[in-house]
Amino acid sequence: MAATPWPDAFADTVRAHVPLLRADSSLDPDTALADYGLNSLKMVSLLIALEDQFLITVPDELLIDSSFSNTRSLWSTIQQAAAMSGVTIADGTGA
Amino acid sequence: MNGTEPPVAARLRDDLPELVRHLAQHAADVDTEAAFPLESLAPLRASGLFGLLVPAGYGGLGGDLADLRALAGDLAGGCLSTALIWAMHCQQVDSLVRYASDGLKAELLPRVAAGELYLASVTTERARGADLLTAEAALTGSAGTIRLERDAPIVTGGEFAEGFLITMRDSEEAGANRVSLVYADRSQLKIEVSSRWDALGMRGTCSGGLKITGDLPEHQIIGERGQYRTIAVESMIPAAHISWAACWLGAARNAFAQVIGLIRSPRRPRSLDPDSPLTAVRLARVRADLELATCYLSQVTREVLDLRSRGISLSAPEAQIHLNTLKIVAAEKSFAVVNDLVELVGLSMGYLRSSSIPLERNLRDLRSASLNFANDRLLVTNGALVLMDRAVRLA
Repeated sequence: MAATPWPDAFADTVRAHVPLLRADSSLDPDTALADYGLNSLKMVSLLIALEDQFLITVPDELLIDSSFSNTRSLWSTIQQAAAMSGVTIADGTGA
Repeated sequence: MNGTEPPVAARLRDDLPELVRHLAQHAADVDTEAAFPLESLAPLRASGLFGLLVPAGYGGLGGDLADLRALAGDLAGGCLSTALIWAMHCQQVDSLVRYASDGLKAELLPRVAAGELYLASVTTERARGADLLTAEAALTGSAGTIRLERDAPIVTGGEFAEGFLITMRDSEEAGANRVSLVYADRSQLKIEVSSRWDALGMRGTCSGGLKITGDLPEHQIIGERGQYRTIAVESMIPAAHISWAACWLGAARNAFAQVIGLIRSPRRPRSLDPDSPLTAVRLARVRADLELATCYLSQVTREVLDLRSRGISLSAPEAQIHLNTLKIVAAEKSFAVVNDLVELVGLSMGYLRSSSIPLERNLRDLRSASLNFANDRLLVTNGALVLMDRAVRLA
């Protein structure tokens, strides 16, 4: 699968919740979010921040471990939730 | 009794009263001396109970977590320290059975089943505290050999265990969340006792500190390298929360039974009037607490067994919430029950070490329950997890 592009605002929100990602490092799509320091508490906080940001609801059935495994899977989850919420999110250009 | 008795526990039913009596006989000395209960554990080893969760193909009893729940509750009525030591050993066995390689299982499980291999858990770390899912000390070594150096402040039975399951950061380069679980035989380790266990209660568990060093073959890593979280979620946490809850509630139930026995006997203190509505209300409330908490224990055990039998992960938020709630509630209610019983029977029967019923020891022992993997930590986790379960899926 090709790398999924995401808006800067998404990356900024993820960055704000992963303490181990250095400010001068890029957000690698396939690095485990846990390796960036995302624990279960920060995961919920990140989820709520993304729901607020994109005005979507992530349904319970998408809240499985694999949804949060890395930035790529998280973005895919957010897109899926947006589609289910009938919300359009602009890709890659800083929504 | 709650529900149908699981099959292995039912098979052992005839032998159990004698075992519980044996544990009860030694419980006071174990507590007073803060002595590891070697004599109490001997018949558990001999009866095959150390291999309760070992599949029959490896010579074990082939039991499951429902059997562990049932038996832990009964044994805790004899001696809570002994029951908890045994339950924690069984937690390690569950992880070995589910995640060790076939070769390692063939090496270890027959010894476990024969009662020759008592397993202790090393997850605490001086630098880091009790966070189960992270580790500071890193595995080193090369060419098929791993080296570990570990400073663990609390290891239940550590001075006496014949084998250890130890969490380590997977390598010096790995993040703290990349934890590997390693098996080490006592004979492979240099062990230094770093602190003694002189505690308010659970004194027989001898949960002092150890400094551990050793070189081990790489095949003694259990499960995938760096993936201890999976073992914790699918095995260590469910087995721990179910068996701890069973031990604590079993001890509280036994305390209640002893108080009922006291009230029904001429030994009852004069202050304890069976006809008093206050006595009746207190007894009814204690019974209600025991009923509810024990029912929840049975229900969560069934849920875990059901998910396991269908090959479904326990990582879903609601399953984790249920398991954490079980630990929190069992810890709170078991202590509250004994505390209420002390209030009910009064100073002489409830507070003195010389009392004919061991409420004073039960109270000290059960004070540890909320601290043994701290309820506060689990409540914070659950407070976050409940936001991920909009449907509020109750157990």
